[in-house]
Amino acid sequence: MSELSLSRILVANRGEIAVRVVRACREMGIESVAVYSEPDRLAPHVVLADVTVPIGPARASESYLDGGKLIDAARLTGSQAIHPGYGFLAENAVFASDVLAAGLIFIGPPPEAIEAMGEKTRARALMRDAGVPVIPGSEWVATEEEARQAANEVGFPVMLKAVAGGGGKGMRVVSEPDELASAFTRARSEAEQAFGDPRVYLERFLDRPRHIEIQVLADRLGNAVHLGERECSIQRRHQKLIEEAPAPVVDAELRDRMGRVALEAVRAVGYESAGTVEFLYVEGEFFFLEMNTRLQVEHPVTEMVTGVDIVQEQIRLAAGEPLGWEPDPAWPIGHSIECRISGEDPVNGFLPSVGRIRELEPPGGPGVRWDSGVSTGFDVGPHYDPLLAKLIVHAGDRDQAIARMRRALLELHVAGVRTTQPFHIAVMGEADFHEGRISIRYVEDHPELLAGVEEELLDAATIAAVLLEEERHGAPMIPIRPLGPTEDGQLSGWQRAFRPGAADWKAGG
Amino acid sequence: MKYYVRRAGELVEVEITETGVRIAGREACAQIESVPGSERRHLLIGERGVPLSARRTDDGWAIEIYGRIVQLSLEDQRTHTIRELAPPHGTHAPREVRAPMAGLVLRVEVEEGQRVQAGTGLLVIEAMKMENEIRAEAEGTVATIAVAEGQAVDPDDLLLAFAGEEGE
Repeated sequence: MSELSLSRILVANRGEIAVRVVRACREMGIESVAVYSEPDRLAPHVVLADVTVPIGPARASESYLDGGKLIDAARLTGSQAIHPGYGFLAENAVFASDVLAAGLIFIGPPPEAIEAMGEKTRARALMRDAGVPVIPGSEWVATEEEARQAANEVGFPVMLKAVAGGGGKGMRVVSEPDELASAFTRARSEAEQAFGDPRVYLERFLDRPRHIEIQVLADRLGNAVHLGERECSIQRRHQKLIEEAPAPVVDAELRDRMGRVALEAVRAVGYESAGTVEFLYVEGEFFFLEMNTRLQVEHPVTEMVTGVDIVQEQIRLAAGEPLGWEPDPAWPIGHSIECRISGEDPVNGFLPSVGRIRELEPPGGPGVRWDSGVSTGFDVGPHYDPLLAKLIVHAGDRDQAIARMRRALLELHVAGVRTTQPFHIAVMGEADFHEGRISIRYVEDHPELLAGVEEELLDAATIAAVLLEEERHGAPMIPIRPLGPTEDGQLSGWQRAFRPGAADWKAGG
Repeated sequence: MKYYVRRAGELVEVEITETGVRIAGREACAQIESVPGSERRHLLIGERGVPLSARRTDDGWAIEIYGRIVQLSLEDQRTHTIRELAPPHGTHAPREVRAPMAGLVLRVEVEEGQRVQAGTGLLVIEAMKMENEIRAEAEGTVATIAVAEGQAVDPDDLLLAFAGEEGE
């Protein structure tokens, strides 16, 4: 790589993605500047960065969402560019313009492209005009009556979505006309809360589609490539939980077709930098969902199967370098899976869990990647996204990747907050997931998913508590016995059975 | 020695055997090792190793295992027998609804004195940018609402109380 014009980049984010960008900078010989709110002063992204700047209190609107403070921090530290990460201001066209107006480089697409894709109804119209298939739907609907009329035209079931939306917020499925009134009110309220814009639109609701998306990279000379697809069907309330590459249903021909459509979308908005074109896929048909004009949470699975460092490419392209390479026809190489480890309790409806991380032992070994935004002693608070870390594996094929993920999940130990770890352990042992029979309804379609794992975890916890209580009362330790059969020469059924998330798709585990 | 363990709303009997434990009729070799100077423990059940953390609580242990925090209250056989002989509590405490997480009360959807059915939405709490509706678990009459819209709440804060039911 030739010498870049960039020597210092401000990372306008926190958590694992800020760490990811800091790491890319360091590998490229670029200095990184971390910004942090009051509770984040010892967060890993701050500890790892070269320069650090405090930007305010916990409340995001006064820190990570305050564009003025971020631009001031960039000026103050002599940064030439700002990387927005994802979330916060990453898809805020006004912020991107302000960054440019301040004479800085925005590591992302031009503000016009963000704006074109940010307003979902406009994006749909643009895509339709560019020949990209879209789901039948409406323009934004102002009143319940308008919504009702549009819903009748499109046909129930319909999905209500925030015009300014993204990330699954402000979205409601309406199965029947009766449910429209309350769903309309709720969707508007959530949209207002999340985006400061209550407008919603609706479109036809597809039954059990898969969420498949194409990663693209484009330079400012008009060169663009796609890096293949990711399957992100395992979601809850439109929040992704598990992602993988390649998608089980996508073959080379479909990949090529979806890739070409994604590049049409890129050209239609004059896109630059890394981006993702999201599709819903049902039985051979795919429809444009939206374009995420930023780096995505799940970008690592694509990195694992292509070897491309997407963040470094983003930085290189932002510095004005030409793309300069073609995708390898051998891609995707092997299979990669990512599990989002969030501070949420999957046994109790994914309720947020906050607390101090008292212990953290990440997994390791072959093909395991741990992208974390937290460390021991860190307080997980209610102010920000609950994503703590991403566990990513890479292996020769999908079966091996599942086995590797399960192995890694059983090594991971976090104490202090509840996490989604039991959910992931359960999925890795579930038959439909193993067979690739998944859709965005997977979680609802498997209400008993966690029951088996929960029972085993409760039993193990009970045994631990009883043994500790014995020890506390001074009972002699149970002597260490050699492994193997018990005295009657048999492994008890249970000894064999205690295998949380064991692959129940294989006879006898 | 036998223990009575209360966990996630159920009571389990566990017996310590010569080589491990018997729990709900099933038997397994089990032992536990402590990592010095930490809450970290290593449990062996049969041939499986399980990483976990353990903390003492008022009446037992909190065990953190694979992302779960399991609260267990323990009674040995003697204490259990004595407590069983004591007269039961005569009255039912009014049923309460407590905050399952820290957040902001976005909406209160019921009024004091209102009769609700199981599943009726009571309040909406926003946490981490998601709206979470708290619903009634059973039918009853709302006696008091302890929070107001716009109020921040911590986990376990009282949100709302139901009136005690006649003949309960």
